[in-house]
Amino acid sequence: MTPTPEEVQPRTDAWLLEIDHLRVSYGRRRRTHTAVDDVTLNVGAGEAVGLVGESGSGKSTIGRAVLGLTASSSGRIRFEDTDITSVPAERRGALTADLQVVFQDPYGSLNPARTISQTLTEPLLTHRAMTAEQARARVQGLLDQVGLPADAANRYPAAFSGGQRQRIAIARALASNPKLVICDEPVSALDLSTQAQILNLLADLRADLGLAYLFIGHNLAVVRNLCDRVVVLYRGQVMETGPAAQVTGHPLHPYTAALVAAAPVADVAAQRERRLARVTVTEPLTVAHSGCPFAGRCPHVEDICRQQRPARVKVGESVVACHLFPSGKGDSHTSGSVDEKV
Amino acid sequence: MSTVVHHADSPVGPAARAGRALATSPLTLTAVAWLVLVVLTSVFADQLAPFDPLTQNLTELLKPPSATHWLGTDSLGRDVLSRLMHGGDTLLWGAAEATAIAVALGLPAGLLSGYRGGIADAVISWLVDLTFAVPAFVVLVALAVIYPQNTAVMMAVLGVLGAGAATRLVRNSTRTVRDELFIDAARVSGLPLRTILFRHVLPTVVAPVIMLAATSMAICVIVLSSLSFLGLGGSPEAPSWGQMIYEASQNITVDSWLLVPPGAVLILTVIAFNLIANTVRDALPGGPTPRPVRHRRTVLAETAAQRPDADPQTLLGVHGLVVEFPSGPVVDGVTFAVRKGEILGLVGESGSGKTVTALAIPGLLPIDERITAGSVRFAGEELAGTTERRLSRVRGRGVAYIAQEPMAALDPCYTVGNQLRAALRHFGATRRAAAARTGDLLREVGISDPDRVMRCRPHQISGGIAQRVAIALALTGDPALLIADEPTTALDVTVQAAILDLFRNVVATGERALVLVSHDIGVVADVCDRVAVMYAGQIVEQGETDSVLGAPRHPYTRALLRSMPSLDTAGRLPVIPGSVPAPDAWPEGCRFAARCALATDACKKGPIPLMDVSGPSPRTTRCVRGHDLAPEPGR
Amino acid sequence: MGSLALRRAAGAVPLLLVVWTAAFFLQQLIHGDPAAYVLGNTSTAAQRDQLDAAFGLHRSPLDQYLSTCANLLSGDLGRSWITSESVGRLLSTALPVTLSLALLSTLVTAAVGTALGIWAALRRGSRVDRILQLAAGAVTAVPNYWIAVGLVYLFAIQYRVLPATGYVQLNQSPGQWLQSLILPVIALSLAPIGPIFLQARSAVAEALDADYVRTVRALGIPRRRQVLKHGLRNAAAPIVTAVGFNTVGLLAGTVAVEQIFNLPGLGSQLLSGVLGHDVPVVQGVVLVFAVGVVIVNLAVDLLIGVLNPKARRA
Ligand SMILES: Nc1ncnc2c1ncn2[C@@H]1O[C@H](COP(=O)(O)OP(=O)(O)OP(=O)(O)O)[C@@H](O)[C@H]1O
Ligand code: SF4
Ligand code: SF4
Ligand SMILES: [Mg+2]
Repeated sequence: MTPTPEEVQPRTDAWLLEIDHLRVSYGRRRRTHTAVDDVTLNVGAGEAVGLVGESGSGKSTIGRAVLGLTASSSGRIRFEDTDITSVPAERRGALTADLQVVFQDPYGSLNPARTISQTLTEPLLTHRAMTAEQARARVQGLLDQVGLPADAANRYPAAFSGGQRQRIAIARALASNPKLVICDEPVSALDLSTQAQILNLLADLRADLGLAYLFIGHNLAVVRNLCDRVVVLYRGQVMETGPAAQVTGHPLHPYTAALVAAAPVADVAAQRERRLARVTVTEPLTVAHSGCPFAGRCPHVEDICRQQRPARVKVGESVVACHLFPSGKGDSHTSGSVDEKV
Repeated sequence: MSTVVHHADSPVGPAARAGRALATSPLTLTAVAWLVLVVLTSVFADQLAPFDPLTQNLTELLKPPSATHWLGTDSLGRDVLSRLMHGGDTLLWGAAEATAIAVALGLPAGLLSGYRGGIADAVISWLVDLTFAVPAFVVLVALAVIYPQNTAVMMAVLGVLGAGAATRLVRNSTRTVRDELFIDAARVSGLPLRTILFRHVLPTVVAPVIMLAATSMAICVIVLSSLSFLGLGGSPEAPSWGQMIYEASQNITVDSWLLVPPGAVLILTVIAFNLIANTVRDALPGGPTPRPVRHRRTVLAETAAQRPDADPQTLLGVHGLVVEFPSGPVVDGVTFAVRKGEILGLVGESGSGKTVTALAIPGLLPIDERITAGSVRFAGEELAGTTERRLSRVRGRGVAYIAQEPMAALDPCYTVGNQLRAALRHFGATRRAAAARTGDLLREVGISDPDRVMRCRPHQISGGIAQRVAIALALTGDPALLIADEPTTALDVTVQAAILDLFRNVVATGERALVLVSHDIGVVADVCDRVAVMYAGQIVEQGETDSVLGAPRHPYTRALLRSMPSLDTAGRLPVIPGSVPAPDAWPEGCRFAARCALATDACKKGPIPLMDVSGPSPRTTRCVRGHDLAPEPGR
Repeated sequence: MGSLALRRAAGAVPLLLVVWTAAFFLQQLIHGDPAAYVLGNTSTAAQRDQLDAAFGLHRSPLDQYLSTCANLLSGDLGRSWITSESVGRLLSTALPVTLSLALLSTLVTAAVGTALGIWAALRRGSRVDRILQLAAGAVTAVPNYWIAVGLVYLFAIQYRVLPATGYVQLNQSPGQWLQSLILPVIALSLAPIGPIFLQARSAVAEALDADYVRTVRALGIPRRRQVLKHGLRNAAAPIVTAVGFNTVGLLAGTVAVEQIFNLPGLGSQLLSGVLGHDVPVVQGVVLVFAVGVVIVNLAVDLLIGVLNPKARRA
């Protein structure tokens, strides 16, 4: 039933990162909870792929599995054709330089007891066999690259605002000249005016350095702004994958449509229209464990949705997992707002 | 709270912070000095003591303090001071031995079990539990049956048993750091385990270990002195504080003074160790934050003008509201009004004073923040500066408050039904009426299975349902005004849309009003009739939502709108340079001047007042160049 | 809940076994002939042989261990080496005394500590709060035996209002029972009140600062209800933990306090056992105390289970 990734995703170049049928479960024995459920997604060299979904949908878990911070239960993760599925971060050797991360929490991700230069030189001195002098010069270069003053190096994280700390975290990720940076909600904790600054910085760095991003976020507009492709996640499963403009402009999957419809825009007239168009569905009280994970909240739900997990189907440039698209023939749908469940 | 977090006072690690705390507290310095004194006199007792501690003098029995015997003599005529100076030796050494053993065992075990987890953790935790189940003191006493007076063995046993507590402490601190993102970041950098442990974990564990060592010293001193009081610890020949107390107890009918010197020295020594432990603990992250000032009745700097409310439809009038933290004002002259049936949005970035304004209205400010000027008139009644008692009559019935984190806003210990019924009963419903109304209320807020939700505790329901319950709770008193502080920020967008619809319904009767605090302009566009944009403690622009968002008359509003990413476009965003100034860095002139593209010298001269903007509906802006932003006629 | 209790109780069994075994092998640490050790160097060989025979001390340690274990299973704790009395009987007369002391002291510390804690939490930062905190630090440092001697001096010798020593059984005269325990209970309770107070203060303060208390405050619900229904209820778990922890410490304190007030409890038995080299008595007391600690920890665990809202199902 399930098509292989080659079938559903155009193989442009060799992928930088390939995630095949990844499953991650937390907990032991009877109390397991599958946070990531059969996720397949790829990131090409220099490509920015956005991963959106509601809280608890497994976005961060995917990122942590790729980074080797969380063990996967099954499936495969390959980076430049090296299998890294069950190699924890500490044992990745030279690969760690290529694969870096920026976390959401700008306060927790920097050790408060170490100066900025200590934090930034740490990976340099460990891996790149630099002299202290070279490392210092590199730190200055990095700070400049992320738009921080040179005297930031000798200060502690406490002296910086959230946005500035996020710049420092980005500098740390850049220190090893990575090919792929996992950005786990890097702007979610920031104010609107700072968010735009960081988004621009990420865009510039990508253009200058040819970075690829796996950009995790919950705000569709933010993801749309930065990414080439978007992967929409719901309860650990991929609902829709496609070009960013396509996914936000013409969502195919009912869940994506609901997400797009619910995201408010700052234009009163436009928002009024969007509001009137959205459909509210009364929620069921139990979560079904078979079939489509969205069945309980979907305005288009049919019997088959509750029984069978929909296969991934290629529709135009997108891939959708929904019974509305049985044979690759898709059309647009009424957008619907959905309600939460107990 | 949405104020900017400033940890400027803590630019160094916990260990250094603890060290600094030790050095700056006079009480703790005294404690350290006392311990130094005790240790020195014990070490040099032979040289310092005026008499031999064992020499009996049968002509000088039980003498009170005198010039020769500063602390008097005991029942055998021995000099109390000399005995005291010799009596600390074994005690302190023994305590140090036990403590050293506890730390030496507990530190590696705790690190291993905390960082590695898994089987090592399970085994070590079991052993730790074992030490907690052993009645340590009783075992020590029992040990005396075999090793009478052998302090070294006793302290070794005590050290091993104490290692349990040390292990647990180190383990828990290690756990906490291990979960920090900066450890993850270090792992992703490929740092070897050794480096991570020594550089990132150990430094955070040092301070708790110092604290533990001090506590352990205190406990061991007490335990060891108890043993010697019972005649079981140390040689009966060598004087010790516990033994001196025992001798005092034997002579208590004749001379009670003898109880005082050894007791005082012992107690002071224990207090000193405890003080050091407390100081270190307080300096740890998560220790007590600076003590809040006690709540005082608000004294208004200027009484609000008794202005008649112009519009009988006006429900809430806030005028010139100033709220101060101990460090200074955070809300600075906020003025707005809300009419019945209206939804007003308070929008701004974090630290702009939205939440503080919202909390100030029903008088729910934390105790170190207070209203120092301005007026809050609700339905003709002044709320600023009134008593808690009068406020509590307005709260719930007149003004209700809905918080940002629905889960935290509901008491985890009681079911949803219990909390709703209790509130209804408070507002005068009979038991039966309350029970019936609870179900209706839950249905009103869009919960389709109220009976089931009623039986749930907050952690058993989703965030969206919890927010609906919180709204139901706010509606129990049938309030005229709802104040909702970022009610959808913690929720997913699909759920947010439904909650916003609910708010619209709640106000739809026309009798109620809502003040909605949000940082999301999209949310404001969705539900608010009017909007007030806040920046650095002030309202900078106010008016009907579509005109403010459609044609902003303040550069901040305009820049904010432009910097929002949209669903339709990609690419670089126009940004506002810099960041929001902290309250102590507010300039005298326009607070946005440093970031404003239109700033001129005039902007920086002095405070900018709110100015009316001509147009079809009332509108104000706090900008001298507001007219420059006006859309050109014909466009 | 019941299953949790069973699981915890089952988990305590190996623990007690370890304590018991350790207590048993205490005896093996005696250098040379235990009989000589008990009877002293002046004893005759015949006396020693008699003791050896009576208690089977000549058997191999493992042999002795297994037979004492078997005896233990049938509830027999052995006999005193000195008086040949059954240790079980000896301890069962001593147990009520120690139990009365420990229970009363636990009640006193819990009640006083919690009440003061609430009071201070409500007046955080005030002078009362600061004085109470300092006092809490100070009383924690006072050894119970010192305060016990002081109390005897003050109330029994100086003012003669309470008996200095001795114990009256509860069923003989409840009034005198209580009188005989007042001073010992004060001596035992004083120090533990400190930590319980501090824990109660910070737990209640934290609960009062929580969003859910602000929610009820925003409904105009009176302060007393805010504190008692929401504040205290949410602070209960850490307070119970602190009380449990201090009860364990308190049990140990009974040894010295019983000695000073001449109460015929377990502590007195232990001490006379130790001084008389009466190993079986000492072993028995250690075991009983270990059981006590296990029971206290078990009770705390179960109470926390009940108090923790997340452990309960709807
Ligand atoms: N260490 C863990 N142990 C157990 N469960 C976990 C753990 N980390 C995450 N989970 C669970 O796995 C699921 C997915 O979590 P994840 O953090 O990946 O979601 P997310 O999409 O990143 O959410 P958010 O937007 O809140 O960051 C959630 O249900 C979460 O509760
Ligand atoms: S599979 Fe069915 S329930 Fe799932 S999204 Fe598609 S239509 Fe809706
Ligand atoms: S007053 Fe001047 S600096 Fe302030 S917003 Fe207006 S133009 Fe900008
Ligand atoms: Mg996440």
